[in-house]
Amino acid sequence: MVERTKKKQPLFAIITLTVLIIYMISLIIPLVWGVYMSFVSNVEYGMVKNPALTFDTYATAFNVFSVPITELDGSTRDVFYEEMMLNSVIYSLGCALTQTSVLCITAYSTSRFNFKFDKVIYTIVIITMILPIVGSLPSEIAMADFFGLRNKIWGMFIMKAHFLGMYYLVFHAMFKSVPKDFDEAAYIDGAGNFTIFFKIIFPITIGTFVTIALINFISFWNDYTTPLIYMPNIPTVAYGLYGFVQESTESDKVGTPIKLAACMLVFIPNFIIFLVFRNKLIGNISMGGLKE
Amino acid sequence: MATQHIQGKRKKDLIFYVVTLAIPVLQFCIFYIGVNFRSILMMFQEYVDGETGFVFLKGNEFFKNFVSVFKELSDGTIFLPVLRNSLVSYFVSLIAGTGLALIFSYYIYKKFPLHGLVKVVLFTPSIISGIVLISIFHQFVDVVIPDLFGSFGVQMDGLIANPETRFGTILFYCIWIGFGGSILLYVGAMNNISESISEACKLDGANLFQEMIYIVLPLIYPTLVTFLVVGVSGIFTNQLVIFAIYGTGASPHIWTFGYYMFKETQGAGYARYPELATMGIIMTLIVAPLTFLVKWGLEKVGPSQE
Repeated sequence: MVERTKKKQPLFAIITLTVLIIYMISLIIPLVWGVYMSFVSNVEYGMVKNPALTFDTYATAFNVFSVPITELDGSTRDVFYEEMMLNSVIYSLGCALTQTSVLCITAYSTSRFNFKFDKVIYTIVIITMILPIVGSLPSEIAMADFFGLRNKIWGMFIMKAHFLGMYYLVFHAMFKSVPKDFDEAAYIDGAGNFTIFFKIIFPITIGTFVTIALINFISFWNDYTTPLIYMPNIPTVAYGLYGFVQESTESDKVGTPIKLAACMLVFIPNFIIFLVFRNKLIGNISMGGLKE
Repeated sequence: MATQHIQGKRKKDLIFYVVTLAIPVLQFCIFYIGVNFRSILMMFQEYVDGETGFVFLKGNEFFKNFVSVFKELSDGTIFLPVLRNSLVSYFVSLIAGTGLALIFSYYIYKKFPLHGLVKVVLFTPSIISGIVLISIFHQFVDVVIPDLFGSFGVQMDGLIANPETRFGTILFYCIWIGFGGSILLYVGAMNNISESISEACKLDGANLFQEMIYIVLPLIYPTLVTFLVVGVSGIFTNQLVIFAIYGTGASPHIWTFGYYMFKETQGAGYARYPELATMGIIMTLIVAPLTFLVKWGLEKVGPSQE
């Protein structure tokens, strides 16, 4: 007979779990409230204790969720959800793929070949992480204008295709941990460096690549400040929501339920990605410290 | 023969190395070195018009931007609250944010009950757009909480609507939703600790607190230092979520340096850029040595990994 014994949890676990439960409740309640109220009509919002739920708010939000833009020729027009959605997909996917690829290939080259320049790149990454440059935005805007990158999505792909930041360290630590015997065996079999990278090393480490690409995708999807500054004529959904909430709060044109429904329209694609890839997203990634 | 073979491989490696690094290095030269070099030039320039662009200041006007910036910063009514808010937000995030993130990460690492759910829930705010979350939170603290208190007969303003509770509420929000990314990396670092060390610790009779202090913290110390050092720049760059709530129209008593710089750049035209670039460089000159000092201090006082 198997005896079932109840494992006694230490005090630390009990206290931390209590704090975590309070935290999780405090996090979930506003979100649930937001979702619930996004189904309540403007008329009943705040007026009725148990309001009826309706999809009309979403239909209205879909029709009014827009942001005005001024075209280069001076004409103005409103950009609606479908167009913002397309802009978001292209912007987030393009920036995430270019940035993650550049990070990955730079970390690979500087972690596996033992050239003196490796240390230069590693030091650059560390120094740029710990040496904060404040207020470079004006000159960055001027530079983007100089190269004609502003108001172009591909311009953002170029500007975001850098190897700086923590994820370089994550890739670097990961490539360092792969034994060099793999490359040497493949080289003896006649494989070139590109073949070794794409057919041997990359497949081993693809999990980390996908995790970082997904995290980058989500962060570009949610970023409203970059499109606000660099692509004012190509609004993404996050930038559109910022403009919509600001404008509707000032003018009080739409009610809270419509604003909340617009929030949900922006959140739904991310939520689907999270549900599909949650194991990858919250998987195990680690990085080294500030010293090689 | 063998030497020739090695040299041939080294040559091929070098070609691959140059080909793969050429574009990233060029990008870095233009968008990091070039941008910052341009910031330095802008300190001594002024904007004339669309055709002429930026021109260098001459004679007595050479330090005009510095004079303007020092005038702006010496106006205590703006500078002092901005400094206070920036420092408060840094230290509160550092103590409350990092402390809780470490405790929660340790909880997940030790696989205590519901650790999987906890990890998912803690990570959830990271996937929700900041503008979505703050819009919901804003409505919640300004509508639902006063209504709730009102039903118990306590009349109160919205927590963001009330100028007295506004900054504290925004600060709370930033810590409240800010665990996700750091927890992911702390847990990742903790998972790299060899199980034999953890087992040895148990056999020696160490309790959880002792294991955390004497084993886990020293072994994840490099990751912790990275976060703490990178965080120092937050004093001058952290906008909190003030721009998301108010755009460029927030009242000065809640401004931080990060918000001030962003709002000025976003709202201003080219004519203001030289002054903003000057202000940025001055802040960099303050925060850069501070960052290195923090890094040096943390490495000096940090626990040994041996």
